[in-house]
Parts: sequence; structure tokens; C-alpha cells
Amino acid sequence: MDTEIEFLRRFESELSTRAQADARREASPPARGARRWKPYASLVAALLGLALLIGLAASGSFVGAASSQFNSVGAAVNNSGSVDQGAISMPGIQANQGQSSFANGTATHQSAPVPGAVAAPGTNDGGTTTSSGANQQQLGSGAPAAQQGDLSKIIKDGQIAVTIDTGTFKAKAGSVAHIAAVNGGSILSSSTEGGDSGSFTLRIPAANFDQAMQQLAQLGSVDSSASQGQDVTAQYVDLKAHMKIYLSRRHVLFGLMNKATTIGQSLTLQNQLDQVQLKIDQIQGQINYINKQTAESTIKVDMHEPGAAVAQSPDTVDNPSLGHAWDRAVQGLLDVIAATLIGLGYLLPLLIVAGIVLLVVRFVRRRRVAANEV
Amino acid sequence: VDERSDTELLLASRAEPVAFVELYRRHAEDVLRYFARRTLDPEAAAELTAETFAEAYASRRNYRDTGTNGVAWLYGIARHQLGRFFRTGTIDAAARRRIGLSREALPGDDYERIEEQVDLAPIREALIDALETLREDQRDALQLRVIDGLGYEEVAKRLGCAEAAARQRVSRGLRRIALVLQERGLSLATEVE
Repeated sequence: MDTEIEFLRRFESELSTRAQADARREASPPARGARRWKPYASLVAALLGLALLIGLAASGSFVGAASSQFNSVGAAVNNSGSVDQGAISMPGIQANQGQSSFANGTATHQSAPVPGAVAAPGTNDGGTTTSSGANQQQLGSGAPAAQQGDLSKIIKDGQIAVTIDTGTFKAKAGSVAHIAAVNGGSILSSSTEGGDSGSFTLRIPAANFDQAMQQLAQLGSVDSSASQGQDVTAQYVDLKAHMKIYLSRRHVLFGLMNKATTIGQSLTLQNQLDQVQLKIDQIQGQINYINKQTAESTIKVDMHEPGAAVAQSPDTVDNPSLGHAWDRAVQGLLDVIAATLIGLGYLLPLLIVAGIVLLVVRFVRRRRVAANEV
Repeated sequence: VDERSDTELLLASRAEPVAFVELYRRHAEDVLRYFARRTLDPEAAAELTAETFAEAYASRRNYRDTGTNGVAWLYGIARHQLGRFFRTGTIDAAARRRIGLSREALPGDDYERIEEQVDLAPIREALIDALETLREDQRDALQLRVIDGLGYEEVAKRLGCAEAAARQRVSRGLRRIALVLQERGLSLATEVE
């Protein structure tokens, strides 16, 4: 280039090198299939995206289906009065616990089959249900509707924020304690700020939850009010079923213990008994926890005079947890993968049909081309 | 000597990239002058020139022969670059990055050579007004270089700084002035290539 400007000469050199490299690339034919992967990759990406959307939609409907399925199980219990023994199974544990054996296989023992069914309405936590000894537990065909209500276990929580008249905080704080007391509950924790605002956490029997919320709302002007219910019925029913299975296993093991003839057999059975008892204790603890949580509800009350700084109860401080965030991230990833798999399940038949149609079309076209060439 | 027209070169460069280099040889100095007269800044002018040709090379497949000379398409890109420079006061190197070219600094001697491309006489009066908007060090450097017409060696001596620093102060000052004049609606160059 005929110029005195060095910058332009250098740039020409760079541009020329680049252009020559591009020319060489243009001259060499692309490897077979090198550029053909892009449309396929796009197609796969589009299919996966579609599968994800379908999966998400289907997952939503599954939740509804599961819910309705649960309701129908409840209906079956109440209407027909019978529960299938195999309705709930536990990993690693057979629903039918009627047979057991020693670890060394030297002795076997037959005992009456024990139903591993869902706990019947009205049964106690200890699992001492009435049993006919058959594989099915018979209930009265006309079970009252109230018993269906007994099945549900809901943990209720509520929050309410009220603005009270100036100078009345002390009196209203006393009213909060009174409301907790008259409803059979208590104040779990409280914090006040500046003598004109405070936060209270109440534990109230679940039966009096609505009444307590109404009474708290009358303390002043309600700024916000919310209540939530967490349905733990399915978890509760599962726990009861597991409890029943372990109790029956313990019963069988006791029987075997009485018939054990060697120290080895006794030790083996004792070991198994210890494990079963540990499981029973764990499950009983969880059942007790749910019972306690559902028997009483939690109400958080924020009360303040106009213009007062709102007190924050200690348990409402937001402490971000990286561990929790990681768990949620992993769960989110698994959810997306699961939803995509579900969607692929829906798409697969359509893809197979589309593939067959495509093959037929290509076959017909080739036949036509071949016929035209002839 | 390649006797093909600019349009033919541009069209040929799709399959024959080296043809674009010929287009660059023909028009690089003109494009540089175009930018230098409008930005007053040798550094900015050189950068904008490089970016314009890089953008043109990267987008040469988009060029369509509409009957006008292919160089008009090139100046369309240049105007776009210049507009962006006046809007943001910065020069992007996105096109150079896209085609794998480096961002070269302007060699010291090129400052004078590019300034020679710019006729500052018509805008000298406007320059004096715009000088007020500059930082003191840039104003001093510009006064010595543009108003008094001293060489960079002498400017550096009088300012007590290195010659490269003197060049940079003049360059930044001119760029600032060009932006100010543009904001005031004063055209720095009347001719249209």
C-alpha cells in the first residue's frame, strides 16, 4: 500500500493475513457432515424445549391427579369400608409380614398374615387396630363423614399485623395474652420496641385458630392478615402404615424369639428386634410431631401504634442459607430433568409416527425419481 | 493492478476474501481523512478507519449491488461508526474482535501525518472558543500544537512531559473539541465523499 501512515500499513497486513486464511478455508471443502450438525442440534434443542414444556404442564396435572387419587382412596375407605393390603408399600419391606426366617436359614416360622394397610380412621398412634386376621380390614360400610375429616392433618399458621391507637400498646399487649389464654393457648415468644410496638408468637389449639384470628383483628386496624395451611395428611398416612408394618414385624420377631433354640438364633433375632424397635421409635416420634403441630397452630402478631418502628420477632429474621439454596438448585435441576423426561414420554409416540411417515415419504419419492430416470 | 470496480471487488470478496484487501488499499487513506476531518483526533480517526474496514469485511456478504458504486456502502458504514463515536465518545473494537484482528496503538509519527490531512484553518476560530471546555493540560497542549503550530517535540519540551504524553493530550483535547463542536451543531467538514 502506498501510504506514509504506518497504522494503515499494519492494518493492511493484518487484514491481508485474515483474508488469506479465510480464502484457504473457503477453498477447502468442509468435512462431510461438519456443517450438518447445526440443524440437527437445533431440532434436538427444540424437541427438548417442547418436552420440557409438556412435562411441566403434565407435572401440574399429575399433582391434581395425585390429589384426586388420594381423595378417591379416602372415598373408597369410607364407602366400601375396605382397604387393600398392598395399597402402600415400603422400600425393602414386604407388605405381607406373615413370613420370617432366621438369618442362617436353619429355622422358619409361619405366622398369621398381618395387614399392611393404611391406618383406618380413628385408630390410635400405637397402631393397635382391630383386625379380623384376614388380608383385608373391614370397616363399616356406612362410615360417618366425620371420620373422613379425621384423616386430614393440616398444620395451620397465621400472621396478622394491626395498628392500634396511640398510647394503648401496653393494654393491647395484655389483650393479646388474654386472647391466647381464653383460646387455650399461650405466648411462645414476644419482643417489644420503644414501648409502642411489638411482635408476638402465639400457640393456639387448631380448633380455636379462626376464633383467635378474629379476636386479634379486633385489637385495632388490620394492616395485613394471612393464614396458611400445610397439608401433611399424606405423610401422616404413610407414617401410620409404616408403623403398622414395623409393629407386626416386631410381633413376629417376639414369637420367633420364644422358639429360638440356640444362642446364635437368639442373638440374630435380638439384633433384628433392636433395629425394628429403633424404627418404631423414630416413626412414633414423627407421628407425635405431626400430631403436635396439627393440634396447635402458630399465629404471629405484629402490633404497633401509628408511626412506631415495627418490631421484628427473632424468628422472622431472614438468614440466607447457602446450603438451602444449593439444595433448591439441585432440586430445581432434577425437576427440570424429570419434567423433560415426562414430556419425552408424551412426545415419543408422536416422534415414532412422524419418523415412519418421513420414511414412507422418502421411500415414495425415491421410487418416483427412479421411475422418472428409467 | 486489479482493474475491477469497487462493486466488483466487493461482490468478488464473498468467495475471494483477498479481493477486499484491494478495496482497502484503494480507499483506506480517504476514509482516514474523512474521519480525521470530523473528529480532529488522529487516534480516533485511525481507530474508526480500522473498525469501518473490519465491519465491512465481516459484513461483505450482506452487500447487494443496487447500481451505485460499492464505495458508497463503505461510507455508509463509516457514517454509522462516526455517529456512534459522537454519541458515546468512545470507539468500539467489536468488528475487529469478530474477525480476529488486534487493536493496534497509533505509532507516534502517524499523529503528525494524520494531522496533515486535516485543514484546521476554517475551524480555528471555533476551536479557540471550544478550548475553554478542556482540561488545562489538554488546553495548553492544544494551544502549542494547533494555535502556535509547534511540533510535538517542542510541545513536550514546553509542557515538561514526554513526547508521547504530549501527543496524547493533543489527541484527547481534539477529540473533546470535536464532540463539543458536534454538540453545538458546527460541521467540521463540508465535503461529502
